[in-house]
Amino acid sequence: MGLVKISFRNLWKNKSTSLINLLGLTIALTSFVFIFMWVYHEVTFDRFHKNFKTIYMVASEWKYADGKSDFIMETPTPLGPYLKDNFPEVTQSTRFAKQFGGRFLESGDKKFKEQGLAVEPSFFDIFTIDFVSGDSKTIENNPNSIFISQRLADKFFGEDDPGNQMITFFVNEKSTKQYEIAGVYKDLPDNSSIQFDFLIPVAIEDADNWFAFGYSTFVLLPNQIDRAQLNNKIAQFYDYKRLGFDIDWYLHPIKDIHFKSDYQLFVYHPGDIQYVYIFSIAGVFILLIAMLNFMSLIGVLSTNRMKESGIRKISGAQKNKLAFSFLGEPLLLVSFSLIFTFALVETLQPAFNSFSGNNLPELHQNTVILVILFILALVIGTLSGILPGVFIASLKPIESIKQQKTVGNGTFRKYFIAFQFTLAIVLLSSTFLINKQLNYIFRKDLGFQKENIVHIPLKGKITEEYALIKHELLSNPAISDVTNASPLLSSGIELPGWTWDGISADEKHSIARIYADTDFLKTFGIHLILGNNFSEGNSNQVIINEEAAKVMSLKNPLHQYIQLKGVDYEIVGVVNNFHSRHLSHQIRPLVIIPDNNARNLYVQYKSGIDQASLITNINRVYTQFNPELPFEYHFFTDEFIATYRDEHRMLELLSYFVIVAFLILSFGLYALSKQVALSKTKEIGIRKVNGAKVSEILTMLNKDFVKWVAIAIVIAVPLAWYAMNKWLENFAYKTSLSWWIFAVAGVLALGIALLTVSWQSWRAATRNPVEALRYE
Amino acid sequence: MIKTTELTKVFRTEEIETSALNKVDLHIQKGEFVAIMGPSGCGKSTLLNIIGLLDNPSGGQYHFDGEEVGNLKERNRTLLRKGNVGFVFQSFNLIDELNVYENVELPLIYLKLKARERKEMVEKVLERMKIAHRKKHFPQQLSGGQQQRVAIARAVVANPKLILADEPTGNLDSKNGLEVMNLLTELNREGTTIVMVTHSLHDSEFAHRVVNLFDGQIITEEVKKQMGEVLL
Repeated sequence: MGLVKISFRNLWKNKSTSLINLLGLTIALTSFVFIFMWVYHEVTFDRFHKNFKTIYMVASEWKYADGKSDFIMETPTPLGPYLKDNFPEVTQSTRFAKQFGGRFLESGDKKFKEQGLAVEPSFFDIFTIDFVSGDSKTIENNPNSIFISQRLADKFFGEDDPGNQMITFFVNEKSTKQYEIAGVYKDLPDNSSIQFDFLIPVAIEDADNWFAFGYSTFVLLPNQIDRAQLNNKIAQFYDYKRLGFDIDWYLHPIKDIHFKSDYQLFVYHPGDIQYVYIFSIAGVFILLIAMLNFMSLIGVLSTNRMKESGIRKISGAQKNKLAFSFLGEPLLLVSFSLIFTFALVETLQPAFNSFSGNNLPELHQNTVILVILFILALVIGTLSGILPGVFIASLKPIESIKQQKTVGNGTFRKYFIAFQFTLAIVLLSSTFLINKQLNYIFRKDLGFQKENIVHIPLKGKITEEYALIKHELLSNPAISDVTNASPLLSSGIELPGWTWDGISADEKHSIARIYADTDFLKTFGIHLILGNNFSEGNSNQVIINEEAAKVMSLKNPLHQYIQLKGVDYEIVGVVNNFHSRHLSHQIRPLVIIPDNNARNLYVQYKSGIDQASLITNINRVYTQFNPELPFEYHFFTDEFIATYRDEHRMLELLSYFVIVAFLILSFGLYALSKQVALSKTKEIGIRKVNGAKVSEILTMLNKDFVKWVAIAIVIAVPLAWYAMNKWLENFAYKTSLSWWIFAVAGVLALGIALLTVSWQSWRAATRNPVEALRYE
Repeated sequence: MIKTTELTKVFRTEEIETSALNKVDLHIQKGEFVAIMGPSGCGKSTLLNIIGLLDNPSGGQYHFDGEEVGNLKERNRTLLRKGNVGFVFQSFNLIDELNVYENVELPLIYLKLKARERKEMVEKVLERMKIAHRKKHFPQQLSGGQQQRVAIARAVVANPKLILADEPTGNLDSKNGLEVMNLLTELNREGTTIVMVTHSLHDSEFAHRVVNLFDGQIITEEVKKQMGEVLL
């Protein structure tokens, strides 16, 4: 293995360059692996089902007269069996009911709130569930059987055998039912859209009612059905026109569900394809930056072997063999880098998982990523070795010995730098903009007050005692207001079928509604711009928002009536539009309906009070009225921030990757500037002898780098501008693309470049010219 | 113009300490042409570097134009050197990336002269060195003799008081060497002080005085001719 030995010696001789090369590539590959493990996780959502290509969800789009629409994942109860009976293409169908908000399960002295599904036996024909013990067939014979996940089994029984153990299922707070464990299945992968920790048999209700929307329906469909045909057939049973809107039925492939985030009432955690794009781009950029570094540094190392290869050629070495011998260093470095990458990924994975909020499979289990990693490493290593190899091997021996040529002339490397900086500046300015957009959202006047509010979800019978609770709470001087309302941050359930005077009989509108008591406006600081608050006990008075008034185009909405299902509601007030939903959504028409039975208590407290004692006080009141069910509270600002959790996570992750990109870039630049300074040793000496000051030498050495970074800025700005404009289109309310984002990104990039380069330039410039000229 | 007293220079590496100059007393008058001779490694170049303000001595004193400069910081040495000292090297030391004109212009740029002024001065000196027709050429395109003429042009373009030449004919054939020596003599005759390191007895004949250096010490000095004496 002479080649390995020589390669190793050459690397050793250029320790700092080799180390920088190794470090840069390892960091880049590690980042690349993390990014693409995540991307792979996102784009392979639900593909663990053996039937993933043929599983479809029956979904519908409800189109309202105002041009808006909702995507609904629930279907009429009889639809599933109907599809199977009437479409030969549908080979299997299944229905299941989601247990909204989770259910309490109890066994022995343990009680947990878990998410689960009530399913038909055909569920197992469609979805892939791996049983550790038990058998899916039990569900057909025993209506009291329950399947639980491995995770839940461990939680309940630890090492003990869960087989045939009994579990108490809380149907609601009042009634329970006993189930017998009939099987344990492997935990679902993290990238399953449908998540559940237990399965129970479903008892289908309203089996023939085409107007009951209680179940999700999934079908196996080896051949796609024509959408128009499907709609026509369903329409025969279903006079949806009666509801005042159009329904467009369609079959949604399960593999695409993850990125379709606008289903109403989704229980699935939706993905955002935008982030997949952004991170893929970041990953590729980082890799490109590192790859160019690697290639240009290997080029430098190869130049060191020029004389050696000239002598070899004179001694009879063949051109091809000589060219291949240049693969030694890069392949050796790449191999080390792969080993370090592997170790680094395995070490950092738990941290990355908790940070990204995912549970990605480990690298050694991820064959696809492993294969990609190896191929990439091989390509990088081979390419960066063979290019200078072929060049040097084709030189005349005398040229090589006299080292009259350099590998990849300087300009080439400068193009690399300009390109690398372009990529890095695009990343940096994009990160700035994402940050700016998030700040905009947080500072935006949402039209209501989100500070100093505690949210307490109400459970059990407690709402019956609401008046007493409220009275009790208000006796605490730290509390200024209390209200009971629908969850303010949920997407707001829209009720279709609203009508009012002045629109035609078959025109009906969908309007979101919030149930709330009379102190709702006060607690959230929402302003009435017309009329009054509704009065206590008058359940037919409503308040609408400005948007609703606009949609209704009522000249004076006050004391007008709007109808829903034959009930008249009198508009007594109009409030300003407030953004309770994620700002990716436009403001929609809203009705606030008086009701004391909502299940969310919002407590407004005074600034500067002791939060801990406030919570203790609320807890005391809560427990007094509801001792059985645990007390739960959230600060409203936390809930609000959680709405944007994905954005924050993504921003933070992206920031790390931008830092990585610049770090790798600096590595390359450092090594390159060292090389440039070295190659200019003589010139620097001559200039100094002729009266150049250190500062003048510094300028001379840095000028070139600055020039190419400046060129990079010029290229990067329009690119980033375009990309960011595209990204901002996702938001209904967006910040502006300010010029300073690009200015700051440019100046920062330039600063980093100057700092890196100056390190070497300074050393070269302060060297005694006598030493430089002694090399003659 | 140049006066050194007990000048010493010691080079240290991790393992060894070499004494390159050992108590050198040398006095060179304004307008003098001095040749420094001696075998390889005797300290000739070191002495020249110190005289040329490229390096500081380790000990002793060095007066340049009456001013003590032995302990100057690099920054101040550069300031003093600029426009006052010109260098000619055995290997010419031209910058490969610059053409003849630009190479000669270099010291003027660092003197911060205006472009028009620089042009005038460069043209004049190129004319004088009989290299004006080559001003667009790059060093590799020139013969050795031409390269050295460019180097001399660069050394004198700013009209320095002192020219230091380190084996200026070492890389040249005898014809070109003679030409260079004639040029230096001419400059000296016009009043420029010249200190030249050389191996060549022939070249040393052009000097007023020859200083023989051995192991860092001056062993003999011989006066060849009086200043102002015309060379025939």
